[in-house]
Amino acid sequence: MLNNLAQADLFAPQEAAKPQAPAPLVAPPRPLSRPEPQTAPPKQWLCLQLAQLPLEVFPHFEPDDVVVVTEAVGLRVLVVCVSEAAAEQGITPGMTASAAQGLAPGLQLCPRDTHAEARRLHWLARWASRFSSWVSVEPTQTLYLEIAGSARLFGDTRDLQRSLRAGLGAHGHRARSAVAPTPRAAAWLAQHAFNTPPCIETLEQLPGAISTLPTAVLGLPPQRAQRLARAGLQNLGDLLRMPRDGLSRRYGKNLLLQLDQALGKAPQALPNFAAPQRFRADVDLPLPSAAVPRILPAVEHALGQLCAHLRAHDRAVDRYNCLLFHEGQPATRCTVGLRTASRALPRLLQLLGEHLQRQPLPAEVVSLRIEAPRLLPMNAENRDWVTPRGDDDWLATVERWQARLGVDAVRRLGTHADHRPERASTINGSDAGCWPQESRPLYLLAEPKPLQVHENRPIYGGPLTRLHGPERIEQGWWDGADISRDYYILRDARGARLWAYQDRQRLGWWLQGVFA
Amino acid sequence: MATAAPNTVDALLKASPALWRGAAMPCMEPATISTGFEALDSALPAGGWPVAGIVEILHAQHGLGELSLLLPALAACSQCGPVAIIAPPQPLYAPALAQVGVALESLLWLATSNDKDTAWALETALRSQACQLVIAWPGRLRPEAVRRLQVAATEGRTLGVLMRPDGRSAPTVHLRLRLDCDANGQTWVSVEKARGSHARPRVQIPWPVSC
Repeated sequence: MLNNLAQADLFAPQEAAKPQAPAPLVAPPRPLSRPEPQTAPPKQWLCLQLAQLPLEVFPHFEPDDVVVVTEAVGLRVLVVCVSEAAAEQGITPGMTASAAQGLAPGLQLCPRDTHAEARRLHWLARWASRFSSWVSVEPTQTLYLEIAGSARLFGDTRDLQRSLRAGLGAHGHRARSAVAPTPRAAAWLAQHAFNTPPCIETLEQLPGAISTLPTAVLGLPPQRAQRLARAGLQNLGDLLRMPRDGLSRRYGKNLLLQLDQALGKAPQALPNFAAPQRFRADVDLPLPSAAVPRILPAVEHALGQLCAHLRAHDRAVDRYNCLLFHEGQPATRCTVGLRTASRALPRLLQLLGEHLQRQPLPAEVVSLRIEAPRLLPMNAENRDWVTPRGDDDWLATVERWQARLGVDAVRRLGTHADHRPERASTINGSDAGCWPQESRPLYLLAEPKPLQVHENRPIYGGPLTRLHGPERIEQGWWDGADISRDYYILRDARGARLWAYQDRQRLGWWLQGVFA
Repeated sequence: MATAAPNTVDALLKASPALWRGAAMPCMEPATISTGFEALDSALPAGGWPVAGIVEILHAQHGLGELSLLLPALAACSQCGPVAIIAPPQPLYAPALAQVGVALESLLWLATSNDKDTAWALETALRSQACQLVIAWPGRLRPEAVRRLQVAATEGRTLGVLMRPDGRSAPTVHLRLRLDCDANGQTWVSVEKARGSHARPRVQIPWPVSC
């Protein structure tokens, strides 16, 4: 079978060299077949190995410190991570803590904080999402970035790798990195990348690149690793030369699967890191205080974190909470709502400031928390550059009003298709777009005011002069709120124009509006 | 030709309030918002409401047509951008506003509970730069607060109208009008103070309702 294929390949160039018939002028009808399956573009995986992460999560860690991180395994306390200065004194991971202390008397021992490591790794994954749309986290110290799609935005693969490592360095992390067409190969190469990070471009180069790696990168259980060593299989190249069925039988299917995944012959599933769709930031105040101007810098700091998070994930918030914690008192809570989702720090800060100005604080604030229960997709702002008056300013102003005066205090008027005057105007409702043609007053009293009657004529601080009327309105018999009124425009002694009606059901005069 | 020239100059002077005349005080605002009343436009030194600044309207009581005086300008401004009415003495009635062409969707009505909030809302509205016209019933205002509003209105390029039903007025405003009503029920507007003019004209405003 193999021979046949080889022969076919041999003959292929000859067939192509044969003179071909001229192409017909009319294209032959294409067969109605399925479209050709699209092949995914080749992927490039960048793997970051943060071997020093257990040390780096400690806030006061310096690379020159003689310090190790220890972990209790069974009854023994083992060293899991060693600083550079400690490694120079001969301490290696896997030693017992007492042996390490024997080698370096001034050794500092830190118990491992796996929760802090996980938080830090997730934080780094969020941070790394600025380099790639596909970031994957593998506990406890590995990040994968798919960079085939994004490398050219940063120059090329090496430039991207350089800026990634520089950024990590700025955050106090040192990582080994490698680039390979498969994530597993990238991870293995990164473990043994020292000065120049390896960068493998194609699948064909992979077997050669990984063949020099020691079998320790497989992370096999100790017994099986010993068996490999006894069989003389020192590096991956030795394994690749072995017959597959024998390897599988002796050392387990998992070994073969790992090799296949590294060479791109078997798929490897890597989940995309998804940042949580909510946000929370806690800030401690340097000095407990009940004065809003002293709290505001801490608020600004926390809101700055929120805005940075939103920008990094192209999200916005339309509502967020601020909790102010007191000593021995329940927390004070403010909820800030925005008219449109936003991630502009000045806007968020100003609104919260308005809330805080009005919020009575029962005691001194010791710490505060900003939380956004949901993050919304950000809609790009449409700015009009012709007219200088901006909608943003207006929205921000309306939000400030709502924050200080209350949501109900800011009203939008609308008309309603009803002849009953008290129902023709709505607040914050829909606008019917139609209104009566007869004159209507600019003010309508909340409740009609009864007028005194003298000799069958209404009086209001003196006699009233009729300017216009009557206009009869008879409506609403169908819904129980029927009216039957004659409306008049009247002028009082001092010149004010009033809108009053004579109720034909209740027999009396009422003042309902003012023509201002 | 020699006879036509003075007429052309007169016509030019009349048509364009932006032209500076040596004899007159300098014109403060080149651009104006028309009041909608020809007589009042010609009585005001700028030829209409100023685009930015504070205008005071004194009236002895409600119902003299104080809001109707502003309706043409309110309708025109609401067609181009947001306008605000802050703390009116009685609830506003939408059909009357819609009848004169006010775009209700761009009108905001702010109800405040005290004079302090009213002054604050008025100042933020004037400063926002988005609003063209703000009408407010500020209640009691100290002279320095009016000065603040004046600065806010100038910076925000907004026209702010202060309604003063009690007849109290601030000495620092640039334009002050007084509304009153004669024995026949006719509404008169007198210009009590106008920066840029020494004249104190008094014009009659037709009551706009169609009855």
